[in-house]
Amino acid sequence: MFTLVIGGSASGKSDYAERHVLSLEGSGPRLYIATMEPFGEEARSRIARHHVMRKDRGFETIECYRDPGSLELPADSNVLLEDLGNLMANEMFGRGTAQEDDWKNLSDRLAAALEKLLAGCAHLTIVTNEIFSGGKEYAGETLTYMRALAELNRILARRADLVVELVCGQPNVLKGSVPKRMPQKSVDEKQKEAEK
Amino acid sequence: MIFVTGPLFAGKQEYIMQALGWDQDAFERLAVRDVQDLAAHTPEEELPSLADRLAEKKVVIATEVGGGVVPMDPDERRSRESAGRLSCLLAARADTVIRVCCGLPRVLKGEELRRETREQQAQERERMRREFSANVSHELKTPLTSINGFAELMSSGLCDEGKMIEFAGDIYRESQRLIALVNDIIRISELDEGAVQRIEEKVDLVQAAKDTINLLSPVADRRRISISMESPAADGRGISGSMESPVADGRSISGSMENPVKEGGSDPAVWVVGSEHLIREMFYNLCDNAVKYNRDGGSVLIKIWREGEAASVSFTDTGIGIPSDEQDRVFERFYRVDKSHSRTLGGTGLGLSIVKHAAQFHDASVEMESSLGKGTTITIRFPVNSDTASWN
Repeated sequence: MFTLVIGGSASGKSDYAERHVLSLEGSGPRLYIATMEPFGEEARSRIARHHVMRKDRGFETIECYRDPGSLELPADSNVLLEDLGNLMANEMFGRGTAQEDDWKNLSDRLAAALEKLLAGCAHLTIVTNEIFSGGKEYAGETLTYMRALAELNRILARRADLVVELVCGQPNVLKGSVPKRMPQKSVDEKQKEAEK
Repeated sequence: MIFVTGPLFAGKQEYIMQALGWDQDAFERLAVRDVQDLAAHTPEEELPSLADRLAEKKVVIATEVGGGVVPMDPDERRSRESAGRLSCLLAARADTVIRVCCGLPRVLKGEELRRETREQQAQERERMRREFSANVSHELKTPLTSINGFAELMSSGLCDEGKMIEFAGDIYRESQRLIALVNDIIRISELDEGAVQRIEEKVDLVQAAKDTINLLSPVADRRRISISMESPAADGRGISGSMESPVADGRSISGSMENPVKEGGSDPAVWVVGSEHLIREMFYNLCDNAVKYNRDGGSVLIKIWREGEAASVSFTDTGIGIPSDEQDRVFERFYRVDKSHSRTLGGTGLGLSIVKHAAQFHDASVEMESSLGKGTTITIRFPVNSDTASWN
């Protein structure tokens, strides 16, 4: 199953995506593909902390900042990739990254890489970012980045079995239907209950 | 009316065209987009009447602008609030409201869209064709009636020699109007039918603007209107010079009959790819309007600049301006804000429509800002690819 989860900053999209992954059928490993490139010691320690937290939730974390199509995963794996905004930014602006000339068709190239990733696993859930409603005018590289991410979102939404938009933590199903086994409580709530 | 909203780049236009089975031409005729810009330039109390007028269109598209942090800048905040308010007013007036996210539609009000049948599309095309024919016939008839009247008087033998010369002059002027009108009709028909050959020439916007100034300076001089140009400085960092600056700096120039703009000056070129002929026609039409609708002793400023992935040209005049409720209509064929004024000034009513079509031909955008009694700025933004960027 291929799922796309979109939402603004702090809209609850990560939490929803984790719950969705936990609800999917299959006995394969749950893999979390982290796309945020660590800059500085603080970021590294935060990322390490997240690794441990996700391990407790049954996820193995794989760091992948670029070219997700190159990953070789177990065929029965249940994969959560977070997030597309970082992946696109890494491709465009990251260290040792391509020049502006290579930005052409970046959405198509990333979509092809994600298609390859999808072919190599049982379930793929991708978290992406809604950064298009700020009402502010951007120019130059920022506008190019926004266009490319929006195009990639549209390509993946066409391809996905399920597309869910998160607004104030509430899911708005844009396409497909949510699996019946979807847990109602959030992962954080469950975690807190377990801690008690 | 169908109101379509959703985030920026969500695929709103593509969705509506696909859902209704429209081509680009149908979309341009029947839909209006970017209403946020209209909202930003409309006083709050006029927003309901703006919504009423927009609701006459078949489709209205507005980008959602409520997300993100509330802007600190008061102008930015006001324009965002106006856009949000206009969206609410439009949604209230709409039969159908659809939100598009990631290219996926969701009906918030009304029913799912149904593709227009071929018969409905053919009827709409036929209606447009009849309307265009009626307009063309009317526009052709007016100068022909004058020519016929003057020729009749002259052939009656009742005119003295002085009157004969005067009437001959009138016939000449009216026939010139006819020629201009027929040329514009041919041009717009070619653009409409996609009959304009897609030529990919390297076009220097600076040179095209200079040549336009030289062509129109004699007309402008007669009414003491100055035409100036500002273009990027040689180091490529923004615009250099000003209207008051002397010609000698090679970047800010003014043209007049006594002091025409020299060919091949030292101004750095700003390159785009397209049809040189069409770009020059757009420049001529915009500059010609800026002079025609200016006040005596006024000014026209042509600015050329590069910004990110675009090369832009703006034409600013100090003329009569266009009322806010008519700004979205002036690009329609034969639409005139003030018909009596246009009759005196002699436009064909097709100039801005040609500009709009020619801009679409180049994948360029056209924006207008106008204030009654103060003047108008029309900006064309041409896309710049990596090849043209390297020439620039």
